Amino acid sequence: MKKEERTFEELLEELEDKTKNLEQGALPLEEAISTYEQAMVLLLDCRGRLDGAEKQLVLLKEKSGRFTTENMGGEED
Amino acid sequence: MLPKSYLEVSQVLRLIKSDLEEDPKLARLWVKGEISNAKKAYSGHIYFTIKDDKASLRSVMFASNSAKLTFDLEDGMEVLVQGRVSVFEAQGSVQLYVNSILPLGQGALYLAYTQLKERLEEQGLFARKRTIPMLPGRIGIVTSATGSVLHDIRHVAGRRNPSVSLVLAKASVQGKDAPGEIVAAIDMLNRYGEVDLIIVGRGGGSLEELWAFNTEEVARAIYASDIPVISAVGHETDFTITDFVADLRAPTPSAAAEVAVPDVQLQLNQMEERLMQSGNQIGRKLEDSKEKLERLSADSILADPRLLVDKENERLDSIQDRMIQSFQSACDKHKERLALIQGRLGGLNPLATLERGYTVVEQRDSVVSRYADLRQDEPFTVRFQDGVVTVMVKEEEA
Repeated sequence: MKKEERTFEELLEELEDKTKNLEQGALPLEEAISTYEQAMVLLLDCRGRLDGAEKQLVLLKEKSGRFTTENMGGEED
Repeated sequence: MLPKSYLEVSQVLRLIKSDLEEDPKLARLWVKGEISNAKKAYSGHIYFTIKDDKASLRSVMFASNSAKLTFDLEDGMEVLVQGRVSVFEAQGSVQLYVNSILPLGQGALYLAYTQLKERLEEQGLFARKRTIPMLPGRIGIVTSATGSVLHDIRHVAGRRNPSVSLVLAKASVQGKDAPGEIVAAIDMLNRYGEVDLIIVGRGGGSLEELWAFNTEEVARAIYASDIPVISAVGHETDFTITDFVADLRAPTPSAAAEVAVPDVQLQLNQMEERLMQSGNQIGRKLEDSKEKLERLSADSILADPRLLVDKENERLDSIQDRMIQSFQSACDKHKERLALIQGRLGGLNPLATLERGYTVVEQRDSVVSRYADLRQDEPFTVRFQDGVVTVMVKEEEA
């Protein structure tokens, strides 16, 4: 998994904020349009990440104070 | 008369003691009775009397054994006690040396459970309930690596939010090592620090199988966790101490995953729906604005910018007209005046008289209007309207 700058959760939160902002309907038209565009990009980004995400399960281990994680494989079933 | 032989007190007791201790029936036995006068000494030894209707037996449980007790002894408690009978020489009494005690009736485990529960509740361990993070990115799971719990949580979490990471801190969930391992796992996740939430879970089982989750050490470890803990132990009907201490109790591990992991697929769908509505709204707004713009431009100079020029031209024209007019009228006035003056002058102009057929006689550069003034011996001029002749008098008539 490549290192993303922002977490999925952060993106989702921003998306929620922008959507709320739009719903309040108080934005000037130009700002509303650009906010809408940004929100759509975020939505696509979120969807993309979900599609690409593997259910990740790691086993946490500790050896003399150092933590390591061992992948327990992706999707099961 | 003195007997030939006698024994010291301690010798007697030693005799009894050795007799008793040789009896295998007394060396290891179970005794059923009711507890009374239970006292725990500072040393950890517990002294009590076990009795029935007709008899009583002094009993002691040494610290090494009493430490393993999972419940507190209470007076009146019906118990099965396992131990050996011997003699306490200093007091000359027969005593039961107890290895273990099993409560009858409610059962040892349940008793221990209720007692621990009461105690921890009194200490406020059940009162603290922290908020479970809304959108945990990483979730720590304390359970066994092989059980169905892991599978269930993984399945539910993955369905609802595939981007969530699960971090397993392995621990046995039953058996004597379970409490220690669970405590260590919770502690490790806290020191690891990169999870937003911990689920402590185990599938259903008997009270004994769930025992680890009813231990004080596990309860205290959960209370000590800086990371919020969801407890998901057993089935819906099983309540463990862990459930009470945790910030949230989920009836099953799957339910824990449902609580912990919001369904982002659903959220995204809802968000998309909302965005669509907002988009439509923006669209309508745009349409409105467009219409307004069209209306505005249709009946205004925006539609035909020449109108603006024309208007200015019109204004210029009118100014020009007015200028011309005023100039004209000024001219006319002057003309009129001029004509008037001309008219008046006309009468005075001698030339006008000439035009009517009169002539002017001049002599020595001045007009001679009277016959008497004419020097008849000198030439004079007669001025017609179109010429002048010089004349000499030939013959006087008058």
